[in-house]
Amino acid sequence: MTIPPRLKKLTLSGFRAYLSEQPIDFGKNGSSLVVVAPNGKGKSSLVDAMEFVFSKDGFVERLGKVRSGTQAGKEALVHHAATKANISPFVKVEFIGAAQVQPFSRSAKTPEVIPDDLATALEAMKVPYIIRGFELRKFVEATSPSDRYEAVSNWFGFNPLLKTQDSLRELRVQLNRALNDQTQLDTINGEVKRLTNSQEQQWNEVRCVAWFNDTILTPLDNVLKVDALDSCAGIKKVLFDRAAEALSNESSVLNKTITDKIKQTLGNKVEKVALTVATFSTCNTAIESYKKAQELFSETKNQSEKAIFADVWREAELLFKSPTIQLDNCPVCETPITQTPSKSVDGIKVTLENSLKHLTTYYDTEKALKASKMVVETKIREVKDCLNSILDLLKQTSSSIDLQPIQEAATACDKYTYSGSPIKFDLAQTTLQTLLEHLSPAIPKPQEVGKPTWKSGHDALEKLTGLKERADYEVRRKSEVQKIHDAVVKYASIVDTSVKSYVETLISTLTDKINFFYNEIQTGVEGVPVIHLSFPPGDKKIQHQLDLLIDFAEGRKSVPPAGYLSDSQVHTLALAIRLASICMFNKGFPIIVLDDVVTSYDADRRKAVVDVIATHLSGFQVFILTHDEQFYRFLEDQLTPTQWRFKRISRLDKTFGPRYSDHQVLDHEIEELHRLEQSAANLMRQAEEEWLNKIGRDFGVSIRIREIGKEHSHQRHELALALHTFLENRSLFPPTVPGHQNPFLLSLQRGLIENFGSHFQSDPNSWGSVGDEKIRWRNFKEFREKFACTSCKGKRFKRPDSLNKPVCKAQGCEDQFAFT
Amino acid sequence: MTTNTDVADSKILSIEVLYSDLKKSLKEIKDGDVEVLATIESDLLNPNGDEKENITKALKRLMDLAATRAQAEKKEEVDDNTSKA
Repeated sequence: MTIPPRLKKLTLSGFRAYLSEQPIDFGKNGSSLVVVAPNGKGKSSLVDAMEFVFSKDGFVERLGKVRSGTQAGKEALVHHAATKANISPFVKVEFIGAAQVQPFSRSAKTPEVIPDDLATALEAMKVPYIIRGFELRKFVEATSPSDRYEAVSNWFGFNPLLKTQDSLRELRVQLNRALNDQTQLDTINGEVKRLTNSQEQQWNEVRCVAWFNDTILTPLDNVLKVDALDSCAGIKKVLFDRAAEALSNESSVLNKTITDKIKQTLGNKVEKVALTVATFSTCNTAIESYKKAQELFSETKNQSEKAIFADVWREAELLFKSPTIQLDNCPVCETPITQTPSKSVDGIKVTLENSLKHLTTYYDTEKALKASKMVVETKIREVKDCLNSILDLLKQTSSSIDLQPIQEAATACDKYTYSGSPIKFDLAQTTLQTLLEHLSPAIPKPQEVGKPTWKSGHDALEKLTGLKERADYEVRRKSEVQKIHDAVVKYASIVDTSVKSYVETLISTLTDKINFFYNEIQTGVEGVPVIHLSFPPGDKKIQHQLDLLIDFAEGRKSVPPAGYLSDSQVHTLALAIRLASICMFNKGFPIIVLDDVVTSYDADRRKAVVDVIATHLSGFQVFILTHDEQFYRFLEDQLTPTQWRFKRISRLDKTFGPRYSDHQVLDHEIEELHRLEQSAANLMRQAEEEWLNKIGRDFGVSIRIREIGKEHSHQRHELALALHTFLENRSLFPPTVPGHQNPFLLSLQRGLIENFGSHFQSDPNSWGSVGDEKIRWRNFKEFREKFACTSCKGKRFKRPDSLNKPVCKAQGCEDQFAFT
Repeated sequence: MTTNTDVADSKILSIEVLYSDLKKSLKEIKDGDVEVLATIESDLLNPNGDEKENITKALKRLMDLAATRAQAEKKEEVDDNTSKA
């Protein structure tokens, strides 16, 4: 079984009011602690330290994570002088060994993550364990029912159950949504609308069947009629067969088209086909004409090559314009006339006239050749197009005839080089003629556009039966969703009832405990109201709200407490709620911090709170911080000293931190400062006072009781005088310390009053040096050594009332005190 | 007082037991829907997991169940018609 963690030691350094490192020891069993101190002496720093070290992210809620508004932020965690004094700010917690939780030290500057073992242990701390008096009433007065619910449900950990409830409720909502979802039906209706050309707006089998009969079936065959879509298989078959027949007719149409094309290509006269369409023969006739034009052109070209060209003619033109001209040389070649073949001007004129004729003929034949080529181009293209068209159409038929010759003819057209040779269409022609014989020329009766066909009738009926199937399926599916929804509702109802009963039992248990604590604190008060924590009235579901009500009086039942209870009663109610919940839920990490929780109480209530702490919080390690001396005394009287430690903060030392009345300055602290050549004056004074207190207490010296409020603030000179008087009355004279000039020691020896600041130096009007301090410290230690048992050298003494002189406190010694 | 605390403690510790009791009492319902219950148990009667994700999972399962049942119903109808024929 896991042993719940308890604190063995809490150490603060550079944290809040604590500058120097100070451990607070709770002993090996983890005692509880009461700290009393006036306001502003560093009590709350202890509470802050606890909150800080156990918080998830390392911060104190009331300070906040960042500086904002009234919150000081994380920087306020660090003592303002820590950095200058080179003190690392941290809080350290150590636990009793049996708890098996390792010590954890957390820096206030960069808080470390809580280690796993401590984090696991802290999971048992469900309710906030720090109860601060000033914010206690919030749960009663300022917490909304939903926040209260949130807190209580977290304490009990029943949130998963409520989540289950919520999930079931959400599931019901979503199933309901699915039931009301019209998407599928909308899709079906949209398809009905499209199919019927908006004559029908939504799915209705009877109306859709009527539409089909009237609009589709009757125009096709007025004998056929669909009665219901479930029994329309016969009609669907009729429609299918007729549609197939029509499809066959459509094949005939294709054959007719191909046949016509073939006939065109072959040059046969085809009905409704223009005579200008190319045929193989016209193509080759054009090629033949082109060949002739080529031949003529070649011939005229030869003749025109011999002709005199135009520039030569311009030279000779003069000869024709002036018939009487006398030339010695030929105007073209400048050969003397007599040496030309014609040997005369007239002869030259005839030669030139013949050349002109040859040129004209050449021009005309070239023109004819170009025209002929164009005709050939057109014819070949037309043939090629026809052949390709036939090939494309034939792809849609199931003809088994080899179409290669047709393909080759088309390719030959494509690659014709205008050589004048005819294209060989023989094989293609044979193939086409074979095709003509195979393809049926039957021409079907043309269909009327926009009228229903057997196929469209079949498709529409098919569509309608599909829509019916989908609509029927949707109805069945919805019916199943409805059944599932009903089952979920039934199960959810049982879950609601069980969860509500369970949660109410838990809440009732907590309420009983709250009432118990409230009654305990209000002991002796008549007419203590009954407190209720309850869910608002409603259905079976647990609402995420929790009311806090009281039965105040007859006619004032279930009323809000804040309106009827007094301030202190509201405070008591809040305290009762917190104590009850901590007791119920934090047993796995039994620590409670009570910070100034009795401020608003009278003496009776304070006593009652002490009784509650003593009786009902015995299983917890309790940390009580108070400024109330009366409450402190009640606690000291009631609580068992073996389980409790009582501490008093005597003052707040700005260079150290809170000084506890039982604090002891250690010699090495002073000597360390002296080693560093630093002043230890304050520590020396503290050490001297502590020693005075201790020896005064042990010897039982007489001292005047201080006024109210300053009971424990005796000044050092009072203590010194009391000790001096005590010793003198018993003829106990401290031996002198050789060579000393210490006014403090002198004051002890002579009963003089000495002041701080004057006992470290010989001259009361000057400040002592560190060297002076060292001498004084050595002298003090020598003096202190004189107060030791002459037998066992023990340093602790006691003086029962029956004895005049103190005796050694060491067990088995008890020798009377005397100076050596 | 002690009794109250003990009762509370036992209740606090028994949330898992409560789930188990809850499942048991749901199973005992007459005319219950076993498949629906199986979905609720696996996806919702469970202290862990993401709430939204669990609801989505459960809803999908239940909608699939409705679809399967609707299809099965059709099949039964067809089988009946076939056997009658």
